[in-house]
Amino acid sequence: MIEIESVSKRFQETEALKEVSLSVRRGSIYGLVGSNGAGKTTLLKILAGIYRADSGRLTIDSQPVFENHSIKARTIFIPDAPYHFPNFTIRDMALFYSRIYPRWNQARFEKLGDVFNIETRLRVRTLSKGMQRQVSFWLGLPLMPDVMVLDEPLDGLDPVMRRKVKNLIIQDVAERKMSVVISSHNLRELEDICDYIGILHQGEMLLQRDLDDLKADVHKIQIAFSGDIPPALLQDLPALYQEKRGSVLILIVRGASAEIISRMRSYHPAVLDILPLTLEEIFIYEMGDRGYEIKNVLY
Amino acid sequence: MKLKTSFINTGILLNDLKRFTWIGAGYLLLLLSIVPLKVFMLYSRAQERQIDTTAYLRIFQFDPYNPIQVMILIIVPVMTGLLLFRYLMDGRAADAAHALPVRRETLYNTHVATGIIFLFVPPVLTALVSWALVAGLGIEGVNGANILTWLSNSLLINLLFFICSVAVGMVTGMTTMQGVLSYILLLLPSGLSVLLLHNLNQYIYGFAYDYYFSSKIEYLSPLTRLTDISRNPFQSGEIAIYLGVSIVLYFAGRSLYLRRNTETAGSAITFGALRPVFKYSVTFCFMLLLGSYFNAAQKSMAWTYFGYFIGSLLAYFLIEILLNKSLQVFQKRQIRGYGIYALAMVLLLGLFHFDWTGYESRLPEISEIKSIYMDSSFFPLNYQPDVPAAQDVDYVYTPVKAIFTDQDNIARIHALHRQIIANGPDHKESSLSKSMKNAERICLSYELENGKRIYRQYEIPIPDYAGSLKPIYESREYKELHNHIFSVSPAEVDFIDITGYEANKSLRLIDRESIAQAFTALQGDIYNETYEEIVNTNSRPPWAHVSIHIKNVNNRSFSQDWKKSYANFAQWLKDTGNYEKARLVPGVDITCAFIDRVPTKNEEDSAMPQSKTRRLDIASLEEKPGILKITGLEQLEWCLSQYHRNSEADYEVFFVLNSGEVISGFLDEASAPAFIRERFTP
Repeated sequence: MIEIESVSKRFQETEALKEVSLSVRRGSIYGLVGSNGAGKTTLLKILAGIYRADSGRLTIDSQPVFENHSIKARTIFIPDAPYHFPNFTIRDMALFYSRIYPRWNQARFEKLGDVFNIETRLRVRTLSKGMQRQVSFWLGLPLMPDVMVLDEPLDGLDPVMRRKVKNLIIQDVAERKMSVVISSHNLRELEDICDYIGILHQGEMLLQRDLDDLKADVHKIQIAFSGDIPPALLQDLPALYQEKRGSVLILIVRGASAEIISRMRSYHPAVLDILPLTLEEIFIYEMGDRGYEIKNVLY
Repeated sequence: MKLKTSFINTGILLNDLKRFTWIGAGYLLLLLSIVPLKVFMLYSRAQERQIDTTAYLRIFQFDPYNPIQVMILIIVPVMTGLLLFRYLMDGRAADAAHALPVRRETLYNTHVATGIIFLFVPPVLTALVSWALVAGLGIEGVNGANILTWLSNSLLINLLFFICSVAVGMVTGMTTMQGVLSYILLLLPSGLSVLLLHNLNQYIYGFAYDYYFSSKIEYLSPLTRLTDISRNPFQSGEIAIYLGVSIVLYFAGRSLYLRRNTETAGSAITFGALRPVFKYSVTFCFMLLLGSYFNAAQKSMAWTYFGYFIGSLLAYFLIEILLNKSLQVFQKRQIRGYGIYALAMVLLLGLFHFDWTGYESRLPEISEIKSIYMDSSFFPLNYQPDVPAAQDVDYVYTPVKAIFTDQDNIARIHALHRQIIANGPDHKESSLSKSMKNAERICLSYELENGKRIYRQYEIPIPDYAGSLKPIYESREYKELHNHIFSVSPAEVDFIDITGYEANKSLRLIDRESIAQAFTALQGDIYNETYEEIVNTNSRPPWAHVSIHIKNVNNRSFSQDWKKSYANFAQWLKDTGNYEKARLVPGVDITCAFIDRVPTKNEEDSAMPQSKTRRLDIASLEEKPGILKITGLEQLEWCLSQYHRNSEADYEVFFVLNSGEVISGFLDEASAPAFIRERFTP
């Protein structure tokens, strides 16, 4: 659905994006992770049709996005600091969007009022930062978008609202096959909703993974032997990471889990457990494998 | 699903109208309070006392007497442009606007349409209200056409200024820059012309500064033109140009908007390619500006060069600071950039210095010349009688264009010009500091056989060129071209007033025959005048001023002196018995005169307190030691006919009138007759 092919963008002297490519399937959620200044916002603004890419190709449903009002009518972009017209109330903003976006669904807007629970006669700019962000979602969802582009959207929301917003997004993804590109500097925040993760570092895409594949592919194994650790084991199953805690060896190993277990068992360990891995750990090891120290890339 | 592509977007338009109604409303209120309310205020006062009907008309005029009208016209349209496109200058607002499913072209058109609505509806409503008021109250002095003129002027200026501010907004990402650049652009045609002319005039000997620097230069800029539109209404050509420029600016702005990157919000200049253009243009203009300033203030070329240096240096680095938004601009790259600029300017000045175009030495061949205009200014040449005269000036003066076609005169002027060019460079150096004494401006315009024209202007010290000027000045053609009396026939004359100089004497000629005879006498005297009499270096006052009034034209007249050399006219006055009615006559008007040596500088300084009072005090003149008192009629007549105003003389003369008044003047020893010389020679 969304295809980005070697897109580059320069701002005067800085190169913000260098030949970035990614693709997002219809009805999936793509998480874009990177530290500040990695180029996440620039990529998202190109995706929303705000910036013009210097080179490369960007299409949504095989159509270019820039200056394409029919694609933009089905796309909603929520920036990290949403803009609302001065002195406009929530209702004024809703009226404005209803005149601009052809798919505006007034019934849905009214219904979402129960979720957000802010009075529509209030001026948006007088609301707190977190509430303004809620208003952006409130105004964005009734546009019935096919593509949602979210720049650090969950910052400043309280945990309850965070949950609610995530649920609303997931609901639209599930029911209407909406595609979402969401950025964050925090992997943990995206863990539970993303299907894909891409890591952007200094304008370059370091790696991107399907989360299901990733989780099936990397395993954390806790193994202990009654005697010494058989040296053949470590040669047989090269670990991304290993750590010895007393007699217990902790290994991060890549491969199909069934095969790893059976190979391990052939060394007759006293204890053999597969432990759950967090997304963050997976990336720490993945990137360590590629010669990057994760703390240089994230945070 | 397909959205229709439209010229404007209704949603955006409605939103603009909602957000910016206050502009239109405020503008309307302002206009209502300074136009119809003013009319009504005047009307109420008129119930008590008489009000001049032109007072009503003045409300509908744009001129310096009506500063609020002019200010509103200057400020409101540009401000509207700033406000409507403010979103482009703010990153978040620009992102939000361009994330909307509206094409950039549609956004641009919609905002321009909003602006035009806000700038057009209030003046139209004001005009309607004013018209209703004027018609309802039965006010004379203002009619529908006046109101319509006011309206069309307002709309035209609003349109041009607004579109200009919008187009400028596309090249900058800062609202303040947009405002400043808009006004600079509106002023640029005049301002830059003045700066260029002023600076060229310092470098090019013979540069026809006055020819180019006419009042028309103010008309180049709408901002300066604006203050004069009620006195000199827009010509249809000007209206067409203003509309044409508005259309061009509209398309230019649109095309720039489409090319502009959203992320440039906040930067001084939004297009990389324009940054050096902007930088060097501002540097150049500032260089000229400060150069002109120091030149005018200090009258020295050293100061002028200082101004060039300081002006360009300041402007260059200030613009660098603005463009980079950083004070770290004194880097190698920037310093090299300024060095290149400075080098280019030195080369340019050098080119002018060595007259690379041959402008200074260009002199057409005599065979190519069809005619030559020569006068002390270009005013008569530039004068266009078809321009409707100002309303409050009710006489029309049509100057004679001094265009020489006589082959002898062409050859003489050509030779004079050759001489001026040959002497040129010497005079050029001192042109700034020279004393203006005896220097005269000479303006030349050649019309060549091939239709081309050449204009030159010089300040020449007249005595140095007397030999060349004498035959020209003494030619019949010169005299006919420089004396109005030759371009009028006696039949056109209504009456002639002759007013004695420094005398309470006047005479009016009204009968046809006298007028015709006076004409013939004066023309004969002018034909006989010598170069020295024409130049009148010592400023010998005339016997009388002759004022010739033309029939059927209000107050139209021209003046002709009855100079002391005019024997024919004097004889004719004697023959008709009017001689003594027109001038001071010894014995009749003058009782006596005192002659004294002009004190030398030192004496004058020490005698300062006395010298101030002596002029009025006849008694002290009588008592002054060594003074010569004359009462003889012939001696008085001689003194009267010879005294002049040049204080660098030998004798001072005081005429005592019957009324007790004293007229003072000077006399020269060289021409003095025996009765004076003998008295003062030791």
